[in-house]
Amino acid sequence: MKKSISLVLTVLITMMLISGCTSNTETGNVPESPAKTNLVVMSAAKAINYDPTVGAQTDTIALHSIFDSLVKFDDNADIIPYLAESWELDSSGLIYSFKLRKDVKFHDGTALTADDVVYTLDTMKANPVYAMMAGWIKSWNKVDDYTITIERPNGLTNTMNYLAGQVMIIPKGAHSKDPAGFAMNPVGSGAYKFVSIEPDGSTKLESNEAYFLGVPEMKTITIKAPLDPSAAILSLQTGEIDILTTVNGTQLEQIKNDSKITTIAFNGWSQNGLYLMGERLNNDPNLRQAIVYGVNRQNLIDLAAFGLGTLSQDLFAKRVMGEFEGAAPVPGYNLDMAKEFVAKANDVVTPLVLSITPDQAIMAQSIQSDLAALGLEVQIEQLEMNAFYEKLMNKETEMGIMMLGTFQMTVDSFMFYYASYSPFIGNAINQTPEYDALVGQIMMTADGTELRKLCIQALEHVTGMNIQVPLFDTTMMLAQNKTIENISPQSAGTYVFYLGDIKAAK
Amino acid sequence: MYKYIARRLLSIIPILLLTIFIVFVILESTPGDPAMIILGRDASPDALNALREELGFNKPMLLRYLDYVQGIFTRFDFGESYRSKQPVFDNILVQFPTTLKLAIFSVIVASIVGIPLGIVSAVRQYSLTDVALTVSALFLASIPGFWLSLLLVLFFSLLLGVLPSTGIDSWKNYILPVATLALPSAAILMRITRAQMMEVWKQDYIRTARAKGANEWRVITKHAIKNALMPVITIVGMSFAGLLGGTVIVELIFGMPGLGNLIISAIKLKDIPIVMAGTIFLSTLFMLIMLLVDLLYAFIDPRTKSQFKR
Amino acid sequence: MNKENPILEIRNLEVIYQSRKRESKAVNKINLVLNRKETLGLVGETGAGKTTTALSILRLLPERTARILGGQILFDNKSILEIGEKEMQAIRGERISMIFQDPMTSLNPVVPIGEQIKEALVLHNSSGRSKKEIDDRTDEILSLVGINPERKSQYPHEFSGGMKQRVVIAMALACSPELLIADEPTTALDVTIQAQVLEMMEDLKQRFQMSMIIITHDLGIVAKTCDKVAVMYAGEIIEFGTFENFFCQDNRHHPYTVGLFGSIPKIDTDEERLHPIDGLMPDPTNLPSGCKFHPRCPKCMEICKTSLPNDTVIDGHMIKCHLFVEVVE
Repeated sequence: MKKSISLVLTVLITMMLISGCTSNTETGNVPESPAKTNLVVMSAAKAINYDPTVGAQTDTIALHSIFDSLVKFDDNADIIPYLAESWELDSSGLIYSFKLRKDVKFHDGTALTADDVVYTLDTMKANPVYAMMAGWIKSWNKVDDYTITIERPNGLTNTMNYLAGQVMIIPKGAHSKDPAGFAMNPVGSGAYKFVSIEPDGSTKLESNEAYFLGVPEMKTITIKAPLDPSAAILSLQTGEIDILTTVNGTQLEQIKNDSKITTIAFNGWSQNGLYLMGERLNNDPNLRQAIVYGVNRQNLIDLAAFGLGTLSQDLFAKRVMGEFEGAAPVPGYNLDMAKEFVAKANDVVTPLVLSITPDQAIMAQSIQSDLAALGLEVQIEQLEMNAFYEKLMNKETEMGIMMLGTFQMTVDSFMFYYASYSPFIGNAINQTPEYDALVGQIMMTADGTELRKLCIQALEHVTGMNIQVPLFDTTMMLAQNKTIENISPQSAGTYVFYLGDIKAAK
Repeated sequence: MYKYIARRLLSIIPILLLTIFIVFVILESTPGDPAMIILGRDASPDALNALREELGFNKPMLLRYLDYVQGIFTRFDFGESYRSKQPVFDNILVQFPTTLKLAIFSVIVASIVGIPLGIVSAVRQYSLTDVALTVSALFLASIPGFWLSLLLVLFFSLLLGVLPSTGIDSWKNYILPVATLALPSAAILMRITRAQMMEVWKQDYIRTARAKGANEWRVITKHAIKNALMPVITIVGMSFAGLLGGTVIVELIFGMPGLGNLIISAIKLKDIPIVMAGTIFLSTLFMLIMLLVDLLYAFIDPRTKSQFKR
Repeated sequence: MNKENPILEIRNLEVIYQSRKRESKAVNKINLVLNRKETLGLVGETGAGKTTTALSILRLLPERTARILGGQILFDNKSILEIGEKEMQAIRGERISMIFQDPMTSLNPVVPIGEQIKEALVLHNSSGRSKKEIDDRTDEILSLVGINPERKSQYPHEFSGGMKQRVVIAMALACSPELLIADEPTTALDVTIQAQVLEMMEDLKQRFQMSMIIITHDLGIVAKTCDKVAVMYAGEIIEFGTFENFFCQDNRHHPYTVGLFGSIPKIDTDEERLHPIDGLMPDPTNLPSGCKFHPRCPKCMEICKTSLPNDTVIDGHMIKCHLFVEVVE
């Protein structure tokens, strides 16, 4: 008996080893649900509370399901009506006037009016976490029960995107009665109502039958807390999860042959860039130029980023640049020019230190070999995320790769990062007082035309400093089960999901 | 006997204080500012400072340490989580049962599998069974937990589709995680039991038992096992204590909301109150379990028992 | 001499130990007869094969390394080597008991001594003794060996060496065996305790009317307790006889026996040095040809080197030596 046990054990172990070796996994008998009414989504953050005005790093997917915003993103991330059925921008280009729908009710039956919008904005402002809100919303005013004006700080600010993504309307009545308790007993106007929070940080929601855009097809939703990436992709494959809200290249490799899974790509607002800082590079403009010419971006996209990126010649992603696209282009890959500048550089012997976080390892290697072709040695220093940012803020980084850009950023707000008092990049480069003054002016100017001129100046300046190599505009991906359809593609880029729109696949 | 227990219980306190101090220092020296993590990197310096003031971060470390220790011992107050503002101890109590279940089931499975196989292996020394078992044990004990769990999920969840890979909805969710934890543990137990049995097997009193006319079964069960298993029981106890803190990887991979998961997330986010409370909780538990194991040993080994009677 | 059939007969017993292709000849075709109520002393140096012989009788040789190549062992006319293991287990502890050399390690340290004695009774309870009867018998046997029965719930580590050996003896005698084999029963004990234990064993032997085989290298013990003596050397019995043969009349002995006696220091003579026998016991994997003692024998002849001597028997006194063949003739 014992001999057969060991035999069975050996066979089992061998079988498991073999199945582990094959990268191409065929899913087994995953039961097909008859008519799918339950949706399981994996979030990028654990749920802590459900009050969108508290600003805790919680599960925003739940928030967007329970609450609505004034406007929403369409499939291409353009702005379309939501709670606001129409709006106008005044002649100064600074004040929006929104007309609210009259048929929206909160989950407790009360009607949504301009008072609630005002209350939401007031509550946010009172919270120090939302101190940055002023960068998008300067002031607001109730005109009548269904009309409200919102003023933006300058003519370029992407207040609409900010409203779509960050401002979720809470009911004045329910919230003011018990602000602290609201966090665990949220009342919104959204497609889904809060049911419960699980100990592991997952959220359970059920459909709002009285939703103003129509009853959602998915009756119940479970939003799961984030899992380890390897485990997450497996859960998608076994059917335990229907939507993985972000997937990286490694995970994609695993599911590319899985017929039950499909992916959605979106070119969003973030860009991966290589930043050059530190004393040595600050004092050697030729070396910096050499590096700008010397990195083979297309190669990096193909090899290191699994092809998930597009070439860029601007300091920020295409969507962020907007009308400024191509205004101050950064030179592209040119090996000959790079070599020319290397020849003129001061010190080409001391190794350059490239600090990264673990997920950037392959990109770093690509850069390392590109620069090696120029005779420059690069040492890669891998740090944990917190350690990396601490080093950056302490001006101890020489080269670093960062992915920057969100759907609410615009060029004017970005230029601040390069001012000498910005702990983010500016204080680690040799910035001029002229630039700082320029940024000061930008911060003060409200008029769109004036602002444009100043921004172009700033862009030209920073490009000319050769402190940034735009590696690629990030292509964001999400993965879903083929049992459902109608996920808005922009969700991959903005992380704003409209779960009420999701239908079961035919 | 009671003096001994009292002494041991009291000795937990200084060790605990030292542990708290060490963890404090470690958390202090690791990079990451809790205020910045909560508010985001681009928060204004004023907002950051205000939060730091609120969290008490502007006081020197020693002062914070003393405040904290005083809070625990006088009010049993472990503070609130930086992120959720909920009392930390409640958080821990909610998530601890999952870890406890994992540890208990794993120890039980490991013992049921490992100990009898170890006995069989020793009694059939150098036979084919013994060799097969010893090799498997070596293999299982060397497998990294991360790899084993993914392998099990690939096989049972993906290929066969019979077991879930995440969550704690039903008892089925515990099967793969417990297997991941129990198998290497079982392998180790098997080897130790085998070694102990082999030692005992050579002893004279085994020969005496045979000379009395006892059959092999009786020799194994009535004479060998009791002697061989005493040290093994200590190891089982230590395994259990170790597992309470060692379920982290399994909890992460299988998405189980246990204590390990809680502490790891807290470390990443520098949610110091949770990390501290979690560590204190686990250390105390560990020390109590070791005390129990020692007492158990005294209980079952007559030689040690007499030492205590004095 | 008793006219009843002997309790134990060993004929041509041959036992080897095998380890990694090397064969060690432990017992080389020995013959022995033990009558009822007799005590046989099995004498010889360490490594002579005494313990192996004893273990063979009880079939307790280590399974993997030892093999009985041939011969017969008859216990009460039953061929021990041919019966099944279950039958053998019934005999062990009930009809034949064995006690071993080191009392410190012979007892299970985690079982109370009373339990260990009871175990012998429980294992051999074909007469269906009740629990009370077994308990009483345990108390009885403990008193017999001089241990207070109230101590029966105590553990072995709570007893001294001498007391432990008494417990071991009690265990062995609990079922009133017909044959007791004692392998160096007093070697591990103090000299003073030795005497006590030996006296007790004699006493018990009388009481139980047991036959005994005492294995020892101590001729003093042999002199005190044995009716018959067998001398073993290199796996062979080279001399066998009665107590009188050895200690009283006869001056004819195997040269090895002479050496053994000669090596005993006498208290009444002034000896400045010990007289050990020259040389060492031969390597059992590489035994000398002919008479195994010939390399060390002061009286070695040519024939000794080549041919194995026969057993020469003179009035029941057996000597396996070429020296004595002529005499008989």
